[in-house]
This record gives sequence, structure tokens and C-alpha cells, in this order.
Amino acid sequence: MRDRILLVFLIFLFYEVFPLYAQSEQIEEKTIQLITPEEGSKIVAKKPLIKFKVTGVTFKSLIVTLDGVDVTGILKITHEGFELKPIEVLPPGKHAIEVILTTKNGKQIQRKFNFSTRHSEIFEEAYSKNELSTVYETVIKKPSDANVSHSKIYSNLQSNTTLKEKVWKLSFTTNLRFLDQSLAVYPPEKKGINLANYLLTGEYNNNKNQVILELGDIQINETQNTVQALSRRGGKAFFKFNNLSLNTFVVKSEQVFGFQGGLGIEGTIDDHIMGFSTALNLFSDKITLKGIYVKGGEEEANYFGTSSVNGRKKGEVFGVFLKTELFEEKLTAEGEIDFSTFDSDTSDEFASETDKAYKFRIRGYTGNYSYETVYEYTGPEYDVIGNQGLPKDKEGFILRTGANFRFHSINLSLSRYHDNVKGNKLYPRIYTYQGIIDYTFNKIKNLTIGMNYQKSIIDSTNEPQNTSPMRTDTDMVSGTINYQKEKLNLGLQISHSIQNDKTATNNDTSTTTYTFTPTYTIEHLSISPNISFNRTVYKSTGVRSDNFTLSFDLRGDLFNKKISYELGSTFNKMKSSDNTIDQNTLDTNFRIAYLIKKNMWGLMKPSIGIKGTYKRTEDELTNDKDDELILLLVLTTSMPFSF
Amino acid sequence: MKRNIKLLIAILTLLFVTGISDAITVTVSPNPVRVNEVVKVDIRVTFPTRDTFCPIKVNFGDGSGWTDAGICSYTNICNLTTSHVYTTPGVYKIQVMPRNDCKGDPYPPNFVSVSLKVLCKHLDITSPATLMEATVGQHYTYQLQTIGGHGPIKYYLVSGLLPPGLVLTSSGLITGIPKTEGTYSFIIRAKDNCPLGAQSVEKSFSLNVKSLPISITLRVSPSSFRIPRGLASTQNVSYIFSATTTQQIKLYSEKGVFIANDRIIGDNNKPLIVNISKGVGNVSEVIFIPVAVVKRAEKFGTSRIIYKRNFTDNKNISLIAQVEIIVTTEAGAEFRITRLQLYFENKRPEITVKRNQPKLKAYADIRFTGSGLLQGYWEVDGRILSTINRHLVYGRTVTIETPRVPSLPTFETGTHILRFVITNPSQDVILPVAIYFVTTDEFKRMLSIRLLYPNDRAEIEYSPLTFKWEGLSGITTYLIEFITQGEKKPLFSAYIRKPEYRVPSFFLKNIFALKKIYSWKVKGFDTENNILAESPIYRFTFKQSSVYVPGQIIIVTKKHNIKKVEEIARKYHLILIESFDLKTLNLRVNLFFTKEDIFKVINEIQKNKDIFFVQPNYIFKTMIEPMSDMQKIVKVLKLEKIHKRYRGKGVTVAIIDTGIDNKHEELKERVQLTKNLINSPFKGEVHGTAVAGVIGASVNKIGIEGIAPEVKILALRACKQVSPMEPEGECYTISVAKAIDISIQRNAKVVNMSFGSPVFDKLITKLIDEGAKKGILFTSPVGNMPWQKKPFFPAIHPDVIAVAGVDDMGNFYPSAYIVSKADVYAPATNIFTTIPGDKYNFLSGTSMASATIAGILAVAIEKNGDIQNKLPNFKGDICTWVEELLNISICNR
Repeated sequence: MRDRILLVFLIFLFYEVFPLYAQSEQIEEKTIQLITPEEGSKIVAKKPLIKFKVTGVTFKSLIVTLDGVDVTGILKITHEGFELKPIEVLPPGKHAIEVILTTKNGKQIQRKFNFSTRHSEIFEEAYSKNELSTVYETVIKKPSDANVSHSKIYSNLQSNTTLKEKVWKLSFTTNLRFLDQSLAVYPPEKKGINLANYLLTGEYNNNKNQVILELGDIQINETQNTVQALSRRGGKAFFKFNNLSLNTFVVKSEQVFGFQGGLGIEGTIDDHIMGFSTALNLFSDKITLKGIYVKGGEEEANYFGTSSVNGRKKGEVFGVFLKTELFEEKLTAEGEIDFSTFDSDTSDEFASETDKAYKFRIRGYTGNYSYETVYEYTGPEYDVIGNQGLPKDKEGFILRTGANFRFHSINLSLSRYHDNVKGNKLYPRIYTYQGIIDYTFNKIKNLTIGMNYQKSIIDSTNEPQNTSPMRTDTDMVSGTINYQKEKLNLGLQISHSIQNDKTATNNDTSTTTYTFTPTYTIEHLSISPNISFNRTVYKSTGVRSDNFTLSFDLRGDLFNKKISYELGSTFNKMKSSDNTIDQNTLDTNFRIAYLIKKNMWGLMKPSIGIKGTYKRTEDELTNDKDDELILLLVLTTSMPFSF
Repeated sequence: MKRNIKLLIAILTLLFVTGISDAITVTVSPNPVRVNEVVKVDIRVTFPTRDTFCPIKVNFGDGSGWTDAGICSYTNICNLTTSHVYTTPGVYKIQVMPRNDCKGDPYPPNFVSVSLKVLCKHLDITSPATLMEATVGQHYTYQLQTIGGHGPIKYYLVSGLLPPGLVLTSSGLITGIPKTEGTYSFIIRAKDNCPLGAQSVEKSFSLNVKSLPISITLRVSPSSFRIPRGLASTQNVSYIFSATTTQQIKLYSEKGVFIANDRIIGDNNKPLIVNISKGVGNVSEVIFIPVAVVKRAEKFGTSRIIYKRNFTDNKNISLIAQVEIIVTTEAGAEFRITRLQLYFENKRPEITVKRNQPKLKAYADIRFTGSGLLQGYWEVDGRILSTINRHLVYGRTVTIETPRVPSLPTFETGTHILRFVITNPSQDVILPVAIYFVTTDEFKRMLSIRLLYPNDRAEIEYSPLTFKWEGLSGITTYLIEFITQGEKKPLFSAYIRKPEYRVPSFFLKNIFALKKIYSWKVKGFDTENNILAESPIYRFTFKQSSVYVPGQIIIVTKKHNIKKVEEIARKYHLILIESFDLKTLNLRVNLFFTKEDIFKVINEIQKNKDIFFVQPNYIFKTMIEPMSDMQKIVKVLKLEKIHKRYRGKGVTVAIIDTGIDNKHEELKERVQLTKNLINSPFKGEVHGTAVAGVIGASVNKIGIEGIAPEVKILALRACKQVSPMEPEGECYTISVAKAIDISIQRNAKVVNMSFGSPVFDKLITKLIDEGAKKGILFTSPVGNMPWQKKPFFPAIHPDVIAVAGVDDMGNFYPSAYIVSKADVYAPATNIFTTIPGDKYNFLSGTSMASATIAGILAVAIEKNGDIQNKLPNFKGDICTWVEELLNISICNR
């Protein structure tokens, strides 16, 4: 009892001491009230209906935000007050709705309500979007010798599933494909069911610590001199503990399609790439220190995506990478040093060779200006499995600077590199100098003008006895004009380049290309032609080669999309002044389809149509002409199913 | 006479003697004779006495003339012999007779003529029966030889066949390139052209055509090439054979070997077979040079490798082919593509897209050695999409992307094979493929939203701003997103139903900063909340509003102090822009430009006692907001009741503003004077025309009625509209000073200045002071910024009626605080008024409120005359204030 009296006394005392504050709070409590969802509640909904009311005050302005987004413009006024139905799905988790109103006498009242959402009872986020596409084709007309299947059926199941609960998240995406036809199938496709791609991701994230496991068609990004943008099939595990992270991976070396290659993680080191990296982030991520180790073997390329002349190889690389952003975007400094051991052909008697590479980069921007400077060295034997595009045996620097003003932007780049970094006397040392200037002008309304000039010089020194000196100058200039007004876009590109071989071979060439791309796009029609003419002159022989290409892309629909039509066509004419080539080719693909119904027995947009190809070739020199028309009846439909 | 008789007798005697036929006899043998044969002519002359001396002459009848055959002397029988050779066939008469100096008895002897037939020379073919040997494939010429006959001689093949490839001409030339070996027999007839009868002769011949001896030459192309060190390489090499025989020859090469410093360092076990037919044979191979071969050459201390092959028929033919391989660095090697990688945006050579998905792109990463011209084309399902011609310079990996127009075709469902076909340099590796699958599910084509205001890269004032874009049918909701440069996530965004968004002051102050670069874009949603449209991304920056014109200084002096001003200008390196007199103040205003800090210069100059004052050329902004959609008109006053009696007739109102459209139907009778006081071409602008409409639009049964519809307007353009899309205007001290001066000089009763600035302007203050002394009423808006701490200048001037606003819901505008600092407030939102081009629209802002008050004052002046000291106190109700001022009940309560 004494406690109750004391409590009443304290409340009384509080109101006496802080009357204004307390009254103010009381007014705001009453003024803005959240009707639904209840403040602090957890609800199961993807787009929850939010209702609130404002009472007891006349306000002259009202602003409402949902998770910081101004939603005032989509508020609905009801007899209860205000109602808001989110336009897009709210991600599961905490949300805040904030109401800011200004009373007639200028007082601002601000109130914030929190609530949480989850997408289902079991999982806070759960959805599975699937779409099955099916096409059946049968030949109506074809030449007897045409390599076209008499009939063909193919399907694709596209699936995207996500489950999330608190700190756990699991997602799976895939494209599963079925193909059957009367003729053989070109690889990498196969008849029957095939797995085009898949990615299974599991994630644990409690803000401080994070674990991400990926299996399927993944991508590895470490550093430029180790592995970068390596997209392969395999598995990856990423662990983050506070400011320390660890990334491990194993992938199949070659690009794979279908079930070939399995999960990508089984097999030997001879045909897999594996590695790990560990990173330490300091001073709020302003300093990053990273160590990388990658090892693996690679067989010859299988021509799915990549071709090269190299044989079977293996290697390993160890690198250290340091990045500092102490002055934010004004100055970012990066340094990387890597050591590789690489055997470019495991079948020969030569053992692996060791070499190093290092790279330093400083870049930044301030206001309208940007800059970058790079110094790099790559040893002649430096090579990395999984990064075979890496140029080696070079040393040099690049200076880049740019200025971006309201109507003008200009970028300059200067570089100087040389090869034969170890001065091997069997070979010359070749210097490559390059300067690039790029300018864009956009002051004129709807019109953008761009110009680019590049000058490159290749010059050799210290040539050994049996090697002739080299000196090649290349000048490239190009200009683009683009005019865009409403649905019309007119693009004109002109490029001209000359390669001046200053050696006795005198193998000079020049090439000039004019490209005009007028496009017109409205809701039911799109026309995109590309008219291109190229003239190449081989000065040593005096031969001139002309190439005219007209590509045409037409798409449209009629009668409220009941009928759709598309056409893609290319006409190409090649002619040389020495009368060795004079050839015309016309290649056209077209399709016209009738939409039977938007939804028929659960099938979405079933349609029937005719598609065809027409090819014509003419050799003006031999007077040979050949043409081919193939017509196919096509039935298409899709079946989406989500839960 | 006697002598004449003797001569006659002599002649007759001579005639008688020569007529004796047996005195000379001539024998010709042979007769007939052939051309070029010797004809013997025997002449027997018989004389009756021996006492003779008689030369005998002969004529052979072929034109050779008379010649002496001999002399018969002192004998009665004389035998002479001569000969002759005829060169031309024919029948000739040989004549013989004594020469004129013949002496003898009988004298003269007889004249004798003998006929001789000269035949053509005998024709014969002299060429040997076995003709000169010919060789297959080599040019052959033989001229048949004849003897005798009379030319021209013609030749005919009578029987048999000449070797194929040879022909016989009528002149007897056997010529041509024999094609087939063998011995050929034939008979040739020669026929002459003898005038006494053609002669012909035939002869059998044989001609042997032999075959050439077998000789084979071998050429290798290229004979030399450069490869990079450290990489396996390939090179296409052609072996071109030329043989001297037409017979089929088959040569075989078991393998090729790599040799460095005379040592074999590798081999290529690929056998080659070449068939030489009709003298020509060709075989090529792609030589694969493994890295090991290059390394072995390095080990032996050379960068020169010979690739050697032996072609043989396993009998007696053996040919060695040699190719020189120079190992060098990658930059110095032949221009070759060493690696080609295709991928899509997902970095994989496989992607699944929806039907008609736009802008699908693919990329080709090309690694190469050397430098040269890359030629090729993108190809989808065998159809060329676009061609590429580009010089590549060694040094980096080049990425080539599919064209923007047309992008990769996505209208056909199913799998598509994409290749980047390289035609130059010639490729010795199989080109990679990438595949993309187009599903039947249609890509919802994004419609394009056109952004209207502000323009891309606009620099805009840091004040509440309305972003506008083109509305699209089918779009029910828009999402506008603002992004900070360099960021991906929006900094701030808002959903709206209308195609415009006015950033509330609350967010402007809390989210956006001056001078930072922001981007904005808009997305459009349909009724089912699917994204159907999106805009491009535009950039903008909030600029610091400058309150004065940079580099400009106004020096105000007494009129007579011109020289002093010139001195100051020289001292401080000031450049005179303009100078003019203010009649009202009897002062001279000089506008100068300086490169120095204007405030430093002003501080220095104002120490000079001869200067009246010096100040910057301040900038004022008009107090208006963008046009709104048409809404319900707020009617506060019963205008029709006022207009029955008072319309501002005879009262001059000066409107200092942007250009007033003086040809507008509503204003053309009201505007008495139009002056352009600013350095830009005059034109009717939104703000000035709107203010003029509120004050004085004529009563003419069209459009609107101004508050004082018969007022005289002085249209003084002292401000200019800064953007064609926004009505906002900008004014300057100089132009405003000129305008006030004109207003005072033209006896304006009311001067409306719908603009303001947070700074105090001394020159304008002086002019307002002077105008107020003359009874002029000045009106000006307090400003439109809710966060203003005080009214703007000139509204803050004590002689100016500071006008605040009230919106159509009755709320204070721009804020209750600033309203409390105003003298009066009037409707400020959604005022329906005139805009240029005989048009109308709704405008908001305290500029409109100020114009309303200016109009009311004009009506009050018409009614009450000078009202400067009769203005009622404002008690928070515009109606009451106006009723008190006019003493008429006109409120719409």
C-alpha cells in the first residue's frame, strides 16, 4: 500500500516538475495513432496494410515515410484516417513508419512506429517462383538437304526459391532444360534433361558473423593478379568473424554445361581450381589486408565459352593484397604482390617455373576530377590457373585523369610498357606507348557528341641477330553522335584507324567504318536497323576490301497483343578490289504468332505461330546463287507456379 | 639531086639484104628452159665473103636489152655462142642481128628471132621427213622448207594428224604447245603459184613429241614466322608443289621435326600426303609448336627454330621443306589470337533470358600476340549480326561486345548459338561457342519515362523543388529515386501518383546538401504494381544561391563627381559596365566589373568621402512556385461587388518583374509602358505576366478579372526568367533601381516588387525611401521558405507592405512564424492567372499574394485617393482588412 502511495506521489511529482514535456508527449500520443499493424507487432504479410489516424489537431502538411521512403503521395484517405498499401513487397524484418505533420500554427509533430513482418508462419521469408516454358516445332517446308529437325520439343523450368528464418537463409535457383529432336544435337547441349545452371546458397548472418555457402555455378573474385571473375561450377564457403573473413572455394577448371562436371567439387586437382583467401579489415574497413592462395590444374579448353592453344597445365599462386581508403574517395591506394609456380605443359620434361608479379595503384576523385596511376610488373613465367587472360612479361605504368563537367567530360590516359622484363638476350625488348583522349559534349539538348583518339607506338630495341627491328604506329580516331528525342534515337559512329608498319615488310593497313543506327520504339512497335559500311585497305598489296552490312530488327504486336510479329534480318555484301571476293548474303529470321488465350487450363499465353528462316547467297564472281527457305509451325506456352 | 637518089638506092638495098633469112641462124637450147637455168644460144652467121667485120648482138626478150653476142671478122661463116639465165617464167623471143657497125658483104646481115619458153623452177619440199622433236608443254615452232616453185608457196595437211596443240599455217609453220607426247605421221602438200601452171608436191613427215623430264619445285608459305615465348603456338603452313609433268605424283611426309642449332628438339608426328596432279599439288598443315619446343630452343641458346619435312615418293623423288620459326616476345610475335573467351553479363557462356528481353549483350575477351587488324563478326545461329574491323595493339586483353543496335535477338524461343567468328588473323583454333536460351515467358518491355525538369546535369537553387516527368497511360504509381554519386542504393525515394514530386522542405534540409552531385530516376508501376516503365538517370547539383552578381560593384556618387569615379576606377582597375542617373535621387549609378574580391574593393572604396555609397549588385528572386494542376479557385473576395464601382481606374501601378506579355488579351489595354531594363532580349515571361494578371487583368468576358481591372500598368522588366520550364525570375540591384526610378518619375501610386533576397540593399532602400516620401505604396512578398528567420528584402523595409500568404485550406504560407512578421497576408496558392501567349494557369507563392495586395491598394487609391497613412492594422483576416480599407462589405464568408 505504501508503495502504491509512493508511486502516485512520484507520478504527481513528475507531472508537476515536467508539465510541458509530459503534456506535449500526451498530445502527440493522441494526435497520431497507428491503427494497424499494432506498434511493435510481428505480422505475416508481404504487403501489409498500414492504417493510422490523426486526431485532435488541424494540420497543414503531412509527410509519411515507410522505411525512409516518402509514401505520402500514395496514402489513401478513409473514414478511419489514412491507409497505405505498399507498392512493392516488404522484405521480412523490422520496418518503421514515420508520420511528420505540421500544425496550422507551424508546430511540427513527428511520430515513428515500428513493426515487423514475415512472409509465412514457418519462415519469415519464403517464396518459390517457377516457370515452365515449352515449345513444340514442326517443319512445314524445308529443302531436302536442310539440316533441320522435322520436329523438336524443348522445355525450360526456371526456378527461384528462397527460405529465410532469422539469421538463416537458403536460396536455390536453377534452369532445368529438356530437349528432343529428330536430328543430333550440337554440344554442349544434349538430348533429354539437362541442367543448364544452378546455384544453391545457404547463409547465416547475425550482423557480426556471417557464413555463406554456395554450390553450383559460382563466381570467384579475389584480386586482379590471382583469380578474378572466375565463373565456374563448384562450391564456395565464406566465413566472416567480426573484421576477419575467410573465403574458400573449389571449382571445376573447365566451363561445363548440363550434368557434366557434376557438382563441380568432386575430382582431382588436375582438373579443378581450389583456393582460399583471408582478409582483415581495419579502421572501419579503411584498411584491408588480404592473403590469397590458389592451386589447380586445367585441361585443354573444350570450346564451350573458351578457346585457346595451350595444353594441359597446373600451377599455384600466393598473393598479398593491401588496400587503404584513409581519405575516402579522394585517395585509394592498393598494392598487390603475388608469387606463382606454373607448369604450362605438364606433358613435357620441363618442371614448373616460379615468378612474381606486383602492382601498385593510386586512384581517387574529388569534385569533378578523377585520377589514377598504376605501376605494374609481371614476370615472364608468371601465370595463374583460372586467370589465363593475364598478360605477362611486362613492366610499365599508366596515368589516367578525367574531368567531368556539366556539359563536357574529358578523360586522358598515357601508358608506357615494355616486355622482356628480365632482359633475355635471345629476344628484343619491345616498348608499347599509348595515349588516349576521350571527350564527350552534351550541351545541346537531346544530342550527345563523343570523340576518341588513340595513338599507339610499338618500338623494339636490343634485337638479336635473327630478329628484325619493329616499329608500328597505330592511330585510331572515332566519333559518335547520338540524338534522342522521345521515341526516336539516331546514332552515328565513324571510326578510322591506320596501322603504319615502319619495317621493311611495310604491311600497312587502314580501316574506316561508318555505322548508322536509327531506332524507333513505341509501345507496340520497335524498329532497330543498323547500317554499317567498312572499307579496309591493305597498302602493301593495294587491295581494297569493302563490307556493307544492313541488320534489321523489327518487333511489334497488333490487336491488343493478340498477334505478335518479329523479324531479324542481315544483308551483307563483301567485295574486294582485286576481284577475289564479290559476295552477297541475306539471312532472315521471322516469326508471327497468334495468342490463343491469356490463360488456358493453367497455361499462360499459349500461342500458335509460324517461324522461318530465309537465306540467300550470291557469288557475283562465279554467278553461283543459292537460297533456302525453312518454315516451321510453332506452339508455345508457359506455366508459372509460385508458392 | 644525084646525092638524094644514091641515098634512096642504099636504103632500098639494105631492106633487100636484111630480108635474106638464111644469113643468120639461131639455135636455143634447152628449149623450154626453167627459171634460173642457163640457156645456150648458138648463132651461125653466113657471109658471102670473108671480108667482113661484123659484131652480132642479141636480145633475150626479158628486158635485159641488147647485148653483144660476138664479132664475126674476116670469115664467111661465123659461129657465136652466148648464154642467158631467166629469172621469171614466160615465153620470150630471142632476137639476133648484126650491130650497126657491121661491115661486110652481104651487109647488113639478117635479123633473126627465135621463141623460147622459160618454165618455173621445180618445186620440192626440202624439210626432212622426220621433223624436229617437240616437248609436251613447251612451245614448238618449225617452218617447213621448200625449194623451187614460184611463190608464194602454200602448205596443206593432206593426211594424218598433227600432234594435239600444234597447228600448220598456210605459210608452212608448224607451231603451238604440244599437249600429248607421241610420234605423229602426216603428209603435207606444198603448192606454188607458177603463172605457167601451179606446181604441187607432197611429202610424208613424222614428228615426235616427247614428255618433259620430271622436275618438282616446292614452295612453303609462310617461309618464316614469329611465335611468342612461353606459349604454345599454332601456325598454318602451306606446301605448294609445281611439277614439270602432267602425270599423277603422290608424295608422302611422315612427320615434321623442329631443329635448333642443328639438333632435333621436337617433332610433329602428323603425316602429310600430297597428290600432284597436272603439275600442281598443295597441302597444308597447322603446325602445333608446344611450349617445350620453345623452351628447348632457349636451352640451346637460340631463338631460331627450323621446322623441316621431307616429302618423298619412296623412289627417286625427295623434297625438303623448311620453315623458319623465330621465337620472340609476345609483342613481337605474329598477330595471333591466343585465347578467346565468350560470356554474357553473368560472366558465363550460358544465360537464360525472357522472350523479347532487350539489350542482351555478350562479350568476347580476346588475348593476342603481336599487333594487327582484327576482322570478324558476331554470329547468332549462323546469321551475321554485326561486323568488327579494329586495329589491335599489343599490350592488353581486348573486350569486344555485341552491338547495342540491334542487340542479340531474343524473339525466337529456344537455344541460340553465339559465336565471334574471326576472319583475320586466320584462326587455327576452333572458335568457342556461347549459348543463350530464350524462354516463352515474355519480357515486360519497359516503357521509357521522359524526365522533364530539372534537365540533366542541372545546377539548381537549394530551395523546395518540383521534379517533373512525362506521365504515361497505364502507369498508376511512380517511384522517384535520388542517388548520391558513386552509390547504388537510393539516398531517398518517394512513391507518388502524379508525374511530379515536390521535395518537402523537411527532406530537403535533412537529406540533400549543397554542391553534392545527385542522380534521380523514375520508375512506373501499373495497377498490379508491376514495374512497367523507367526513366534514364539525370544528374543535378544544388548550387549555393549567390546573393550578388560575382565581380560587379555599384558605385553611387553625386552627379558632378564623375572624375572622382574615374580616378577610383583607375586605382582599383575597375571596368565600367554601365552608368546612369537616378533622377529621383539625383545620383549617378556606376556599375563596374572587377577581378578582385568585391568586398575588399568595396571596403577600400567606401573610405572615400566623395563616394555616396558602394555596394554589390545584389540578386533578387521572384517568389513563385511552379504551376499546379487545375484546382478549385479560392475566392476570398467578392470581386464583382468591388468592380461595380471601383476598378483602379486612373491609378498607375508599376510592376517590377520579369517580362509582362503586353499582347495578352487580358493585359494589352492595361499596359501603358513597357521597359526592358535588363540585358537580355525582351519577351513575355510567366512570373511578370501572372503578377500583372492578378493586379489588372481586364474585364472582357474572357479569362479572368484582375483585382484592379482598369489600372494603368507600368511593365518594368527588371528580372529575367532563368529557365523555360520554371517561372522563377532573377533580378539585380541595377535593374531594380532603374525600375523604381522610372516608377517614381512616372508617378506610379503603387509599386509591386514580387521578389526578394535575404540581403539588405542600400541603393534600393534609398529609392524606396524617396518613393515613400512621395506617397508611393510599395508591396513585396515576405518569401516562400518555411525556414526563413525573417522576411526578405525589400519586404523587410519599413515603407514596404510585407505580404505573406495563406493557402487554400487557410493555412499560413510559408510558415506561421514568417506570417507573424508580415504586414498582411493574402491568398498565395493556386491563383488562377494569366501566363504568356493568351493562356492561363494556377500559380502559387507570396508573389501572388503581394500582387493581390497591390491590386487592392490600387482600388483603394481610386476610391480614397492618398491612403498612405490610412492603412488599417492587419488583424489576421484579409477580408476584414480589405473591408476596412475600402469600407465596403465584400468578404465571401
